[in-house]
Amino acid sequence: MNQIIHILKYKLLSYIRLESKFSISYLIKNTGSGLIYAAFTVGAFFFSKNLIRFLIQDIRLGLFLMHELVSIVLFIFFMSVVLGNIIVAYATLFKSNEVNYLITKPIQPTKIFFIKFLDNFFYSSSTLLMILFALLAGYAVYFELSIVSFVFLILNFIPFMLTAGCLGVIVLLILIRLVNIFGVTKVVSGMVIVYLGSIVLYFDSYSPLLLVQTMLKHYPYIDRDTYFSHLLPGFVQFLPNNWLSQSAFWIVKNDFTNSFKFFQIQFALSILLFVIALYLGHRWFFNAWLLNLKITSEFKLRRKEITTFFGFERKSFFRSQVESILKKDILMFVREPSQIIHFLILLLLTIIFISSVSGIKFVGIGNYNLQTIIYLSLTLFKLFFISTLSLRFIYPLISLEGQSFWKLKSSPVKTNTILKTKLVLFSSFILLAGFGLSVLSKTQFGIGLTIFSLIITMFASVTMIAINFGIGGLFANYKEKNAIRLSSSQGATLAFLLNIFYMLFITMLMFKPVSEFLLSRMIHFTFDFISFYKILIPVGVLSSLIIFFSFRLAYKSLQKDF
Amino acid sequence: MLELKELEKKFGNFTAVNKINLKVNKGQLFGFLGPNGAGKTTTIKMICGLLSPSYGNIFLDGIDVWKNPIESKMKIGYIPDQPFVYDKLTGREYLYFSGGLFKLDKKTIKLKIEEQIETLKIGNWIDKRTEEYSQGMKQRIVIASAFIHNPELIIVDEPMVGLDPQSAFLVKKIFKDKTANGTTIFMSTHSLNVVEEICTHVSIINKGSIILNDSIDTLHRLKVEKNNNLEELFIQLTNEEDE
Repeated sequence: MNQIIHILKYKLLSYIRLESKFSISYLIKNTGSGLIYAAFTVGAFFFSKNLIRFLIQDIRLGLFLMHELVSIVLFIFFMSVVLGNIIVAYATLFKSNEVNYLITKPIQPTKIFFIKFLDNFFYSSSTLLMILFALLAGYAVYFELSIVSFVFLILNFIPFMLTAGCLGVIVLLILIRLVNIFGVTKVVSGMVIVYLGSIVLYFDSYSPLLLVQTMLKHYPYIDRDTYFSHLLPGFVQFLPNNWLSQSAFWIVKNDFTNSFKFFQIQFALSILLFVIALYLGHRWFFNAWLLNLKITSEFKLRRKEITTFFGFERKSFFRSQVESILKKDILMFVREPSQIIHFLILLLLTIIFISSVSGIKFVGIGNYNLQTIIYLSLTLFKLFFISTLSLRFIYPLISLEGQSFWKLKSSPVKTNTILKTKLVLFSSFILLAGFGLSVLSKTQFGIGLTIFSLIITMFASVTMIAINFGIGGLFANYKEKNAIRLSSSQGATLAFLLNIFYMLFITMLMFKPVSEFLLSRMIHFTFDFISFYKILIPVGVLSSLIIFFSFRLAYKSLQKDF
Repeated sequence: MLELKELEKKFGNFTAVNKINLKVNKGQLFGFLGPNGAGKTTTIKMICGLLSPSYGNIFLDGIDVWKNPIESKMKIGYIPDQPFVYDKLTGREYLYFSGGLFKLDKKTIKLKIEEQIETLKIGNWIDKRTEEYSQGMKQRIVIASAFIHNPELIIVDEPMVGLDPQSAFLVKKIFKDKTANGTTIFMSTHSLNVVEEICTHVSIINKGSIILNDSIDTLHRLKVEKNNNLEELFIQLTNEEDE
């Protein structure tokens, strides 16, 4: 134990010293970040409070249905954390220089595993906890919960997060053993199938639409806070996201006995998984570390570089400098397994998302207010998706140049050429995904709204790409090689918060013209599209300003001392 | 060829390079000596465009390096002290990448790569990813990438780090051949033997200031005065500055 405390002490010390290097730019950067964090925390609080008010009072959703929708959101969150944790844990436990260093010292591998496990769990959690805290505070204030209930609500979240973190590590340890037997391709393909399969299975048996329809059979009792748990499919009752939402439901109902029941299960599972993770770490970690070395070296020996379409020897119609940077970026991307796996999963999710969205029919719904909310929620979800793609693929672009960046920086290439070339690849993908979503989700509203939606998507995509690129440059970390860790760093969170402000700005501006348009459709009244195009002026001005300043930021970051 | 005028670099209150003046003529193999932390790498990084000077100018054939970076970088080949290369590229791809940055056409790059394979003996592993290379292998790929566009000035920071004796011998020979053909080399090192063996001019920097700047013959003369012990001479020169 002493050894663990000794190592943790120096890790903490180096972290504090790294984070407290004082300079004017450091002060500006951190004051700016602090202000945005504070504004976002306040925003998240009011957003949560007002959203609940809207769902409960305006839509009259009822407590149970609202908590079930929360449960669905928590499921998506849980699955994302598990996947992210598998990838990040691989980098932390098996590819970090720190582990390579510690393993040469007389330290039990179990202790190294424990230290890196903690490292993995707490990395980037501070921001997440801050957002959760604000959202939960909004929830607690709306339902007028006591301080004790609020603390209990927060305590409910900790085992939930721990369960997701432990599950990621357990799956990773099992995967490495399986890779040794079946090979990388089979195991990774199997994992992707199981992962996506479980998401599809969940939504197939428990779609939000089906849930609403089932609940509507009990109308008007749904807004009378009746407990409808018997309507839920059996398997849902065994999921941590459901336990969390059910526990919250009973807190609101001031029934601690029932709430505590769900907390107990949640807590017990998290402890069980934590013990299993530690046990497997104790039994397997060192072997898995050696296995990973063996697998990687065998893989490298067997590997033959194929001259692909992107091979440097092939002729290209690009200028030589652009071609060099572009091909380098493509090869670096496709040859990094974590990048390509994550990209393929996101690509698949994009396709699933586009096809699901295109299937939604809500024009016939009688209430134009509800239509407006669904339309704007869909827009917000689309923007959120674009923002996620930008955060994952655009934000790390400059940092991923790594310490090899000296070559590009000492070459006769204009900074603008570097910036534009680095952006072109992923920006095209994000724009295409955005356009696809816009066209397929809005065709039922006619050509006018589709064109408008495309213009908004174009502004939003370019702006959010610019934000992520600019902030990615400002917070560039050339020593971090893992794109996922970069995408969950302090700077990435800041970029994400700015994206959310921007998304809310657009959605708020759209509220009036969209509701007027939907009303006009309902009462068969002529609608003047000019009111849509009027909002393009503030959107255009704000977007242009953000794009300009973000590119300045990225440009300046490339000119910094290296 | 290369001129540093009143060149200074400050990091906050710390002055890493203190208004130094240097002139390197065409065809010289210029040794830039100094103990650890003397300001060698900082000076080199300023010449290559990686660090911006706090004061002063750097001229390459009369062109201000920081005012016309593209034009001047075309003439420079840089070999850093740490051979960081893009680890997912093969050595050959890295050389194609480097050639492309210097606007060479594919045919020329291909010829140059073959030339470098022959000169630097890198044929056995050039088609493997650089993540599998040893430090010395990476160093040789970085050297090849610096030569690929036939630069007029080669800036080398600690060239012998990580090289085995055969490779070090090979690199020294290449440097001598290059200067014989009119290329200028500005080489920082703390290896006194290397300077003595191949350099034509030498400059010693200590605590950011130049303490000696002369031909290699002067250094030889000073060495004779110190019982032929170059190490002792170097320690004395750098210590005098400390006092």
